[in-house]
Amino acid sequence: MIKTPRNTENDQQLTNLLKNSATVNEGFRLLIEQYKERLYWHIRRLVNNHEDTNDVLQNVFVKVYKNIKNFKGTSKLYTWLYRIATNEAITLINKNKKRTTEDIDDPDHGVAAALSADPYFDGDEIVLKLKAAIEQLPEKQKLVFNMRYYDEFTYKEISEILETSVGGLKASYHHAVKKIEAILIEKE
Amino acid sequence: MKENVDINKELKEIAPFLSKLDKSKEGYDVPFNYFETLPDELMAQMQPATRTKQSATSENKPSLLDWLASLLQPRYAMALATVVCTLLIGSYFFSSATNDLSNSELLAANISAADVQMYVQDNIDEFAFELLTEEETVEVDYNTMIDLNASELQQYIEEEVLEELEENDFL
Repeated sequence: MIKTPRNTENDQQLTNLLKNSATVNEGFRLLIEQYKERLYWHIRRLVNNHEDTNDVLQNVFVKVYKNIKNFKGTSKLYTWLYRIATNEAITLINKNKKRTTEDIDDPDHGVAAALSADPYFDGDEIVLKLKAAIEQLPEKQKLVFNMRYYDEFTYKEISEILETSVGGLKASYHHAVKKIEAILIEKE
Repeated sequence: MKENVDINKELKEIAPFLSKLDKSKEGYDVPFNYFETLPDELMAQMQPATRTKQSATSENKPSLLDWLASLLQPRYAMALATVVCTLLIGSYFFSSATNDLSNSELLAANISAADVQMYVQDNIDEFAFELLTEEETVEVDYNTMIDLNASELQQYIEEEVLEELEENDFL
């Protein structure tokens, strides 16, 4: 699992490279190298399958490249990147929701079945249960849970990315964890 | 490090079962060499955009050849062909009309006033009354046109005019 070391000094250097038209390509390559895995896993946890994750990730980097001139630097670079990635992932999830009819009686069945059939998923039974439990959470709780549990972001960092209050995030995370715990114990 | 400890401690308090799971084993996998090839793939995607930007800025002033070449593109070529055809057809009709006019002018120059009078007299029915009464338009010399003595005039009145008046129930 990729942790999320936030090196703001490095981000500042990257921003400088990206803002300069002579060094933008060099800066962009460094940005991809530095963030490709972190953003990939952040998106993958939200959309679950590799193909969708790859599409979203590519869109994210294209948007970053096109909009880097508009990046004011008032927020941190990684905050901006994660915000774009989160928005793009949620846009894709909503698009997929409209396309597919979900099983109302067993909402986690679709995710579990999809993951089991996914050639790029080899999790065991408990991981499958955990993923299915996460999928039952409301969108915001799912997002906060993933960012806190897997990415190990602080509440402050999450609040900067999602632009919400720390208090609200703490409540969301606690609700999410309690629900997942209950689902996992029930299924044991 | 302290942050991780806090997160784990918090998790252990709220969800002891969940906190025991190994979260590093997520079960997700990626295609072979995916992360290694991703930067090149993305950079390749960005290159056309970069080139387009560069060409747009460096070639703000297209050369005459570029401009002429652009005229040969289908959408411009069609419009150009239409304009050329319209001009050719228009100029053909204009020149025909001009030739007709000059022919009629030439013809008029070779006709004497007497011939014109003769023609008008022979075809008097074809001319509108207003046209004949316009002094400037048709100048008729009554002395030469109607060369009748008193008896002939009397006879004309009796035969033609009175007959016409009778036909029209004026008498």
